[in-house]
Amino acid sequence: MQMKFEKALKRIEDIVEALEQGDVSLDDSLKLFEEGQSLLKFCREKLTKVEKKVKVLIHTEKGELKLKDAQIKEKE
Amino acid sequence: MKVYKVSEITAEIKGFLENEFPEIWIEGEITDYRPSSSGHLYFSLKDEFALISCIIWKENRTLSTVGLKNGAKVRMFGNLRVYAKGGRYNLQVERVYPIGIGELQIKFEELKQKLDREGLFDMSHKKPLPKWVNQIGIVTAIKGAVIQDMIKVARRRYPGIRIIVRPSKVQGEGAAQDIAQGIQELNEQGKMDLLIVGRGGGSIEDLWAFNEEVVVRAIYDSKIPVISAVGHEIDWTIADFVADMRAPTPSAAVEIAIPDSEEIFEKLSILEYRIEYNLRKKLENAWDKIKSIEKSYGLRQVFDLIHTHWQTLDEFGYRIGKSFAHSLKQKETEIELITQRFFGTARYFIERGLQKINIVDAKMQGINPRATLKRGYSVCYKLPERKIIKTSKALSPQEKIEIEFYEGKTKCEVLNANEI
Repeated sequence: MQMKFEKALKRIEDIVEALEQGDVSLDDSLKLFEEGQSLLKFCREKLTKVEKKVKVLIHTEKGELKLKDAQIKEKE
Repeated sequence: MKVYKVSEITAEIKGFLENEFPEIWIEGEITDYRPSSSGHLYFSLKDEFALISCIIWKENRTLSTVGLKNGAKVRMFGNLRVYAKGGRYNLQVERVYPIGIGELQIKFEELKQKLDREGLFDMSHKKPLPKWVNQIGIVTAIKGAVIQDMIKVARRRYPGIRIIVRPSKVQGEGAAQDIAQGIQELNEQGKMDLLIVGRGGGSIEDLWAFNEEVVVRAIYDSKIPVISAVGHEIDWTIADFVADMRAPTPSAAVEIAIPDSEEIFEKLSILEYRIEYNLRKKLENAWDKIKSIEKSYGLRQVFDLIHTHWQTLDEFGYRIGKSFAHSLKQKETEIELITQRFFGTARYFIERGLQKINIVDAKMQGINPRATLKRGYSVCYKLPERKIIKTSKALSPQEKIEIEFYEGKTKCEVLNANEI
């Protein structure tokens, strides 16, 4: 799912608001609930995903730009 | 005895003075400072014994006017001009140096004023920082503690963050060009949510690259929001004025840039609770409605009526004929079926919803509450049964309670149960 985290979070907030407004049918409420559940799952997964990705942008000998895995020690 | 005309002697004085003092340096204290609506600046320079009037023409206003105010001690460069019509002589000022301020300070103020006039620091140009970031770019020195610290803070706040470092010189010859180019290159990389441009602390000379026009313009031209993070809290560079956000230190920049995932987890839990609570409420309302319809007088009347008829017909059944009785029975079954189907569907629907909520419940219980305790919350149990207390109404004076903290627990006695 190539959804933006920020967008997902906003959608969850919208869902909460819609449910709290109270004029949503039971059927729609359940649909919103399900959508909310999957968005929450998506957000939590995104938050816990550890990528450990630090890259450096360097100039090659030919003068081209290249992304390289960084060799930066993390300070303890 | 030669008798001069006024204009004659004035012309001679003018010629003499202006030739004798084509360029002078002069020091003194500003007094009678009068900016005029025409844009020219008038004031006088004085010391203990004398006073000389000075003018900064509008055309010269690009020069730094930092620190020009009554009482300020300044050193000025200019030339003397005699104003024949008014019978006065003035110093036409070309450069002003406040005394007691270093040369770098003056350069700083001059560039800052120039860029300010150009509108580089306008609030309207500032881009809002994204609330959420996936990938950030950092322009700073690749060696040293600063970048290590930044990465450490970033990891702690959001383990999934992608960081692209554009190593750059941050002081000395060529540093400013390198930083500016780095900002541009990260812009060209695309997919960057935010840039942090900075370095660790140092002297004003060490930080100077961030006061260079080329860096300031690169930040201004960046399509990606930029946080400046130069030196310590007290260090202000021109980069700070143009950046979309100024951070007091490089690690503070990371804290500003990257949301704390723990806080977001908490927010998500609250949102989840609100979704669940509202759905549960709706389902329970629907459930109650069905129950009340089932129990309603009207519906019972229908069934009673059918049953009464059924009974009556049973009695006459043989006489009237089985076929008719059969069709009546069919009708009754139909009604029952429809009724059941209606309630059945509704029940099924609600049960399905409740089931889902129960799954969420179970999941929520699986979440370790210690994470919450760690943030400074605590749990209160009523003794001796160790029941979790959610309202002060559940307690009365002298009762024993236990409070569980992130670390350890404490037994307490209730003094006053219902204080709000």
